[in-house]
Amino acid sequence: MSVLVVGGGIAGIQASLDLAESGVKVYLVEKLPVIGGRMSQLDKTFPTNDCAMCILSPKLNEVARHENIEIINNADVVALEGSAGNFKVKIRKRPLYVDREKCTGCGVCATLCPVNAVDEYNEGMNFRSAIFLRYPQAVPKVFAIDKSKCIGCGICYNACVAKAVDYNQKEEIVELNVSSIILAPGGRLFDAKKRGEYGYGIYKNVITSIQFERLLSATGPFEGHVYRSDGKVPKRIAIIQCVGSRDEKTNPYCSSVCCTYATKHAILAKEHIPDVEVHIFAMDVRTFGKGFEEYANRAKKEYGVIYHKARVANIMEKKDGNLLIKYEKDGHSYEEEFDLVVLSIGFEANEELRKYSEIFGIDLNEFGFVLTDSFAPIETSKPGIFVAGVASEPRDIPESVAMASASAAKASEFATERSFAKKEEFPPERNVIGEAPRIGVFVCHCGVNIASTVDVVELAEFAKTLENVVFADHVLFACSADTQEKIKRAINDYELNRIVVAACTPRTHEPLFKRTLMEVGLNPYLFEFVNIREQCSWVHTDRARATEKAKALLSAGVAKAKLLEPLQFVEVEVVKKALIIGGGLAGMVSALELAKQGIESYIVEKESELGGNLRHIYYTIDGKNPQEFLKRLIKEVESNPKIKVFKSSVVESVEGFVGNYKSKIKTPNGVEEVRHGAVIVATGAREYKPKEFNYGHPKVITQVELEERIAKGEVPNSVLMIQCVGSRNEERPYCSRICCQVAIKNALKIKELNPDAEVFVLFRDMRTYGFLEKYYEKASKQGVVFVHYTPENPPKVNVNGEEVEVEFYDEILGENLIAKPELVVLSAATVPNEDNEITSKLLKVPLDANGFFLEAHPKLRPVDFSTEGIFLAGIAHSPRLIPETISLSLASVSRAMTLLSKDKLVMDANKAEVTKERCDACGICVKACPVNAIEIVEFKTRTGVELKASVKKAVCLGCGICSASCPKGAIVVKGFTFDQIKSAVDNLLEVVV
Amino acid sequence: MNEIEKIKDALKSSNAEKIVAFVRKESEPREVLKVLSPNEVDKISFSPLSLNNPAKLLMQINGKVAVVAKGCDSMAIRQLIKEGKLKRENLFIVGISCKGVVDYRKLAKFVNLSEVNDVELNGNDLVLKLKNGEKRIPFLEVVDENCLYCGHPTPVIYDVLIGEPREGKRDFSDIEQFERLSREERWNYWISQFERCIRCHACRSVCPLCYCEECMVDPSNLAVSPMSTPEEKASYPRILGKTVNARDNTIYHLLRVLHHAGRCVGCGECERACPMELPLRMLERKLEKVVVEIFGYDLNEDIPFFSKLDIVGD
Amino acid sequence: MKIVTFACNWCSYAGADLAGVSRLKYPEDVRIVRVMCSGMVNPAWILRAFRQGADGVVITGCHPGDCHYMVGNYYAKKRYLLLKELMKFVGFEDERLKLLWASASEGKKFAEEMDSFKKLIEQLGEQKQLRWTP
Repeated sequence: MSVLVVGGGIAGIQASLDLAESGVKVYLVEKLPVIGGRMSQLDKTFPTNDCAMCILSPKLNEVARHENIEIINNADVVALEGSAGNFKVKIRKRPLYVDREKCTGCGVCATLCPVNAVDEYNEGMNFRSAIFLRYPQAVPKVFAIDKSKCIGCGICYNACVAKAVDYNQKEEIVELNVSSIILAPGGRLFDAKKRGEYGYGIYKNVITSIQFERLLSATGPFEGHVYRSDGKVPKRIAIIQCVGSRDEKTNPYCSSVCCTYATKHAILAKEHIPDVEVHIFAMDVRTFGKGFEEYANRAKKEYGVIYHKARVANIMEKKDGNLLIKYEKDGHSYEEEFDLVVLSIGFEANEELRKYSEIFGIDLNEFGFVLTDSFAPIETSKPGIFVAGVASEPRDIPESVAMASASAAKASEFATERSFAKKEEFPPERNVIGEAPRIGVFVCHCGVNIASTVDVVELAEFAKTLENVVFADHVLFACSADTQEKIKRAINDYELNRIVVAACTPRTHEPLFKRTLMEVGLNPYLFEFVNIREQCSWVHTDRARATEKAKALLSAGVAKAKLLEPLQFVEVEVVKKALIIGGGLAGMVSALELAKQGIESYIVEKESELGGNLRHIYYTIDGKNPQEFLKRLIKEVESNPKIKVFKSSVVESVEGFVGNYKSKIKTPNGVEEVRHGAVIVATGAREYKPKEFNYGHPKVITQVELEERIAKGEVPNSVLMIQCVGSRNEERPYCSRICCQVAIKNALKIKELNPDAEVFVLFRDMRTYGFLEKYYEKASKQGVVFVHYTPENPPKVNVNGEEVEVEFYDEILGENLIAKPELVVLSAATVPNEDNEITSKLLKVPLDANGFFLEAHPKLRPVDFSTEGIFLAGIAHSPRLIPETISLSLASVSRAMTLLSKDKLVMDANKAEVTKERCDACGICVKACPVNAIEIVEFKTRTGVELKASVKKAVCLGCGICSASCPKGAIVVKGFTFDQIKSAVDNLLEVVV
Repeated sequence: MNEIEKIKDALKSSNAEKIVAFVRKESEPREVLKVLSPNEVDKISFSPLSLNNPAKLLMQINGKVAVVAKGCDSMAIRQLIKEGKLKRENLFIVGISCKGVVDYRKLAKFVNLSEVNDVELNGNDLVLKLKNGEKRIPFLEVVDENCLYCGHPTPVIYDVLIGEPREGKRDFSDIEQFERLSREERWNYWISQFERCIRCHACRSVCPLCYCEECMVDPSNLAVSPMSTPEEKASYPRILGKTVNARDNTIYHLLRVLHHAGRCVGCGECERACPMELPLRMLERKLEKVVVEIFGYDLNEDIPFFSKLDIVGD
Repeated sequence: MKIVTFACNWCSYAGADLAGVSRLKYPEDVRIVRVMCSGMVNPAWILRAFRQGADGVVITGCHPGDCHYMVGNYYAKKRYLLLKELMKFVGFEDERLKLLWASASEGKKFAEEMDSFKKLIEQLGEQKQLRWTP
């Protein structure tokens, strides 16, 4: 059975890939003609300023070519019947007016189309044609006609060599049977016009954050140059936060991402325009995610970005287009002039959710987002339908990606069958070792895309003159089905043992040709791709010179092909079990989910009982009972036959690699050895024991201690809470994310139990992100007093015998106040576990600067480690709340299932390999390898034992850092060996322009 | 007890199966490295003529071996331990705080070498015991130029240290001076040097770090592809052709020193061995300067320079 | 003129592709060799390229922090600096060796950089210092 994923943004993409990789068939429905979602519009991503397209585009291509994923683009779900495990969905496919099978994505049509239509991808800041591809890297790479703009002139129809344009295409209804559904349609951005006082749509130089994002992008309207409407380069930019967020009139919740993206925009603006001044106006700066606080600090210190703790009242436009901003700060009004204003617009519930709530029968929350439960954050109100990404709450990319993986785990519970591409489909491989190279060359016209600039006929003739080439031809479309047949016939007729295709970029079509080779029993690695389109015909105009260059490229390709070797996919048997380090919430959720998917696991808990930090949480902010939840979890874990729990135990050693580990667990009853295919690190974190504010005095306690007291019925009459204790300082620069929520939670509880109690909260920025904002509002309304403080002027806690008093500065009154509360409660940081370092060494996985575990990529691989087979769950990653911990834990299961669902892992063969004769075990490569894939091992020889480097193929990523480090060329990456590249270089240079 | 007796005592105390030390040649004032058995310990000698680096020899010996090592020799030994070529536990290192060694080519300008019986360092002078009489030469006049820039006169790794520890220097003034020449002057200088290279590979043979079985620049003896015929293998150059010419010689030397970045121990064996007297140390020292100044690498670090992740500049 | 450009599969090669998709023009002299990572580029290939008559060599990779393999580009930069410094020292026209960070979305940057590099190489003229002639 299969899974329907609704929405082709990053969440839908990640969910689809996880499912597909664990053998589940996926239908990915996208309302636009192409997938990619909001992320495809981003220039860079915070907090690393990674290029968004660089990390997204490989995922897009993976989706496009995955045999378990079918993209249904330009389509909507219109009806649903049945129940979990057996849904029947009806999907309406709107016509593209271009035949998906025939279109090669060459784009000639778009260059000829006479229509100028507003380009939605660039947020209306420039034009596109009526037949168009949303963005250059888009997938599926099929053009579509925007019928509302098309004038029906027929130019594209006539220009298309592939005959793909079809004006008469009709709407289609597709019916599918699926076992579960993932809803990931994303969110909608707030319409800034609704905040009329900011003049968006009226003042030309007031733009939205997504427009600014496009301005910054190299593929944006001005190719990455930031200009105002009048072409002037802005020198003073104001960024205004909470436009359509934290606003009673529009959306009362916080959009969670805007503070950090505004920080990114400020940094990028500084990088684009070095002398620009950037001011950010925000009520609170909510950079609460992993690495975000440090990012904002860098913005301030290194880039000189100015943050104002202020509310902007209104904006007026001057005659020269400059803007006067009126804002309030510390109780005073100010006015300042800027030449560009960027409105940080927030997320709203996707307009389609209302429709989906009806079709699917799922509940929405008060804000129109999909309703979820804090102990089941992935589930909708209807069994078998899950949610990921912004559909259930505003969230950033890593959280969306984690949630997407989590939803994939939940959805695959219902997909009982798993299927993988089988090797048997292909005929047995022909042995070519010992044969002299017999190379076949196919030169592609790509319609007119290549042929109009490069003389492809001459190129094919030239190919025939090259050594070892026994066959060469030119074809209209190398990627077409009939060419594949032609290639296969030529391989058989001419006994070819190498194929070179000179066409477009290998980044999209290489897998197709490799498959063609396999279909006639030729090893897929005996294929070489020569790019004469993107890197020749499309970038040159002089036909003679372009043809000469194409010859050089082809000659290099043939030279490299000559040296290609048949390679075997790396296969690793998978032990279908997991080791989970840590038996807290994350570990238990992971183990239970694995069990549901039929996978056994071992939980190793260092303490004598399961539960971790959850044991000390007695109520949640939304009124749930965590202790009941915990009891249920423990019972389920301990009674589950697929889970074995080792309490009071530690992992002593872990040997092996992805799919196949052997570990020793030190238990009270001696050492146990277990075998497993994956590891989940769920070691948690703990509350900081403050050194500040006279902690230790009986009246100065932490939030966890307060909660404990309240649970026992000891409700204080007056409390003063201090936020950011041990966080956001020099020693611990990060934000602990959860403490603002905990403070509000405890404040509300006190008010609930003792309405007359006085509660003060001294804070730097209240970071009640997402829907937590409503509890902040509620607390304010119930009389909890919030007083802002700055790190330069922190409160003082004075102890006088048994009494405590707190002295703090009130900005509004402008004077120091003294409070004598019954209790001073410190919102202490969440700090990494002290054994993290040991675990990190044990597993050879890195820690970040703060001592939490460091994931493979902060954006798109939040629960993976760069070492394959090891995953990260819960707050060992970074501080987070219960639903986020559950989401991250389920995500780690989903990622682990991409391995554990398989009997064998089949990996690409382009891995490092050691030529033993050349290696003398100096170990330079061993230490340079970023994933610890190389080891020095003993080899028996006739004369004795020799030490040599040896590559753990299952671990190697094929980057080749080793090969360039090796002074003797003893270690090479197959497919990019020293001699292959050297030969290519030689031949590239032989043909003279 | 004089220096040589101290060295002998130390060697005797080592329980090693073999000794690698200098032995005075009979007919000339030269000292050569020899592998001795423990009962031959009295044959050893040590003086400013103890030029060579024993590290390369150590790689060929199995079992426990005692070795006499100057500062640079110990650097080489430690580097080879770092690279897994030697095992510390198999070595007994008698480290000698070194005052510098003699450059024969310089010495020959002062005296007919066949007349020298013995040499001794006395204060700032080198005292030559000649067949008839004695001659004193300021040591600075005959010292190996390489020793003037020595960064590690005191061994960095030893079991016994003979002599008082001495400070090393970090002096790249000669390199900086050369760098001030115009590009054309620099190129003309080097091309005229490399032109003379006969690619005898002596520099490579003596270098303690050039222990590769097969050098990148040599024609390959190993399969280029599974289809390679023996003829193909023999005629397939890895980087350079077989003929000797200034361009290829340049590439040979650049690539060779490039492989020594962060590894060269400064023993000067390459220059000593070069029959054409090419200023090879200058290239090595230039790279040492880069390694120190740009990458802040310290040869004392455990991680090999090439393995180390450096984040430089933007 | 002949310019050999080593481009990493993940960022720069994709950036060069984008230059193509966007139909941005740059000189025919630029010829790209695809490698998986800039960290894979062996200095020996560069010297070999100059020996075989390249007038310029460019190593392109992901921006710092963006490497698909986390750190490959840092190694690339390290080797580049060593080789460049050494070449400069012996009086080689080291401007002929260039390191360029180009992301998958910087098609325009890729084309512009190739254009200006070609112009620079043209000013220097043919590379004769290491070119091997029989």
